[in-house]
Order: sequence, then structure tokens, then C-alpha cells
Amino acid sequence: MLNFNDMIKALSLDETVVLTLVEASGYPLSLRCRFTVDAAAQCLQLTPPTGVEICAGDASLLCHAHDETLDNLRTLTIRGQLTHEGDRWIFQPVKFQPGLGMNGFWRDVVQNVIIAPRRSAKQYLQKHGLSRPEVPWDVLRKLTGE
Amino acid sequence: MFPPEIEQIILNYRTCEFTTLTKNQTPSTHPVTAWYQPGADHITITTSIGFPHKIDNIRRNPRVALLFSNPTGSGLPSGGAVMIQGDATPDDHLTVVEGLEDFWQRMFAWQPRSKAYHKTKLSRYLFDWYYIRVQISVTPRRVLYWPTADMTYAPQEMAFNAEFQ
Repeated sequence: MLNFNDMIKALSLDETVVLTLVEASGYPLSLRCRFTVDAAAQCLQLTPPTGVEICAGDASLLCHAHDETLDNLRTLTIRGQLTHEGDRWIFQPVKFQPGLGMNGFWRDVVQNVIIAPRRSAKQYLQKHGLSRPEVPWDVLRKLTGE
Repeated sequence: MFPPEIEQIILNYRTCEFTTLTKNQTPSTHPVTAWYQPGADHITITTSIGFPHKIDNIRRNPRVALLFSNPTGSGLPSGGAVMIQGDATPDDHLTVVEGLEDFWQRMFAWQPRSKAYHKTKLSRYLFDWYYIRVQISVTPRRVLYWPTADMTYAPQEMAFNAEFQ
């Protein structure tokens, strides 16, 4: 389980995070923001763009990165509360959800990329009364260009 | 449908941050690769049934957002960003390859390592879920644009399709 210090360490790799909140219109709104960590208050101060109406409330932060070949993926989701204090936007983390690149080999590859999605796929097919479709591997191989 | 500067970002950014709303209306955001045919009136997201929560969320609430804000690998020098709010419609049918040939061809070019998923009999058994997908069409309702990577200033609200104005 990640704690606040783990989160700070993970965030030290990023200059920006993606803040998502829900607008008064009911649509989600995502903005890439600069941030600073307030270690004493265990929260983040965010600098969202000007000229965009921002609502306090339930929000999430996503930190993710990939390289030029969509490899070395790294994902961290933080759920929490966004509040407005004076001219500052404060994000108070409530729950950390480490994704790819955050868990070590066992959880990253075995749990998150094999066991959990295989189980979810099976449950989806059962729930919707669908049989498991055959994957046309020969067609896919041709599409790789090899 | 989109101005050229927006279209270039949607077509070339390797990932976007895709948000659906959970049962209790909190945002759930994940990086995905979007698919767009130039001139189309919608953007397509595909999600594996190994990660079905996006589909479940959209069936309860179709309001979604896509943020294209990570230019890594795109070859575009501006580093701009696009935020799109829209209404999502999931396909009722599963898709494996048919209809997604261009998408998979592009994914193999962009992410060469993903070819390993079908190299051996074992990997084909373990990773078949990755190719069993549901297509999600997102019809844009609002488009915000930042011409450079500096997103601290106000975005431009962009027209994207006269019939929606």
C-alpha cells in the first residue's frame, strides 16, 4: 500500500500532473497542472490554467509517462478532494492507485497484466452471455509487418 | 471536423488521458490510445474487456473527457494540448481485429514491444484478452486548445463542427 511519502517519491519524476474534476455541466474536465508538494499538510498545491472554470469537490490526479516507443510505462492515480483556499487550489489525496511501473515485476506483469485482466475478461463474457472470440493471430501477425 | 492544428495532435499523440465517471460520479482517468479517421465526426477509443470498468461507467453516464497533453514520441514540436468533452457510446459487439486493422497496424508501429504478445503459444494464451475489445465512439461537445506545452494560461475554445454550434 502506498503512503504519502511513496507518492511524493513517485511525483518527483514529474513536473506536471493531470487533474480531472467534474464541471457544473456534469462533464469531466481534465487539465495538466504544475504542482508543489506541501509535505507538512500532506497535500498538493496545483496551478491550473487561467480562464477555465474549476469546481471544488471529488477529483483525481493522474501521473503517467511513456517513452518514444510506448514502453517503460508508468502510471499513478491519486483520488482525493479539490478545495479552493484564497487564490490556491489544494488537492488532498485520499487514495493512491499505483499502476504499471509502480509495483515491481510480480504485481506489474503477473497480477496487473495477466491474472486480473484475464479474470475480468472472463467475467465480462459471462455477464453478457458471450462466448470467447477466437483471436485471428495470423491476421495480427501480418499487420505487424514481419 | 477539427482544425488542422487540433487534428495533428489527435492523430499523432501516442496516448490521451481518458476520463469516465464512476457510479458515485467521481472521475476515473486512464491513459489510452485514441483512434481518429480524419474528417470523422467522432473519436474512437477501444478498450479491452480485461479492463471493462470504462464500458460500465459509460453505460451509466456517457459524459467523458479526453486530454491530449503528452507529446512524447509524436514528432510534433509544439507540444500543445487538446481537451475534448463529449458523449460516449459503446458498441454492443466485441471487436477483435475486423474493423480495427488500421488501429492495430499503427499500434504495432508505435509500440513494437506489443508484438511479443503473439510470439509464442503461451503468450497467445495469456494475452488473448488484450485483443478482445469494445469500441467506444466519442462525439465531441466542447474542445479546448493550448498551442504550446505551457498550460498555465487560458485555452482557446475551438469550433469543431458547424452542425454542433
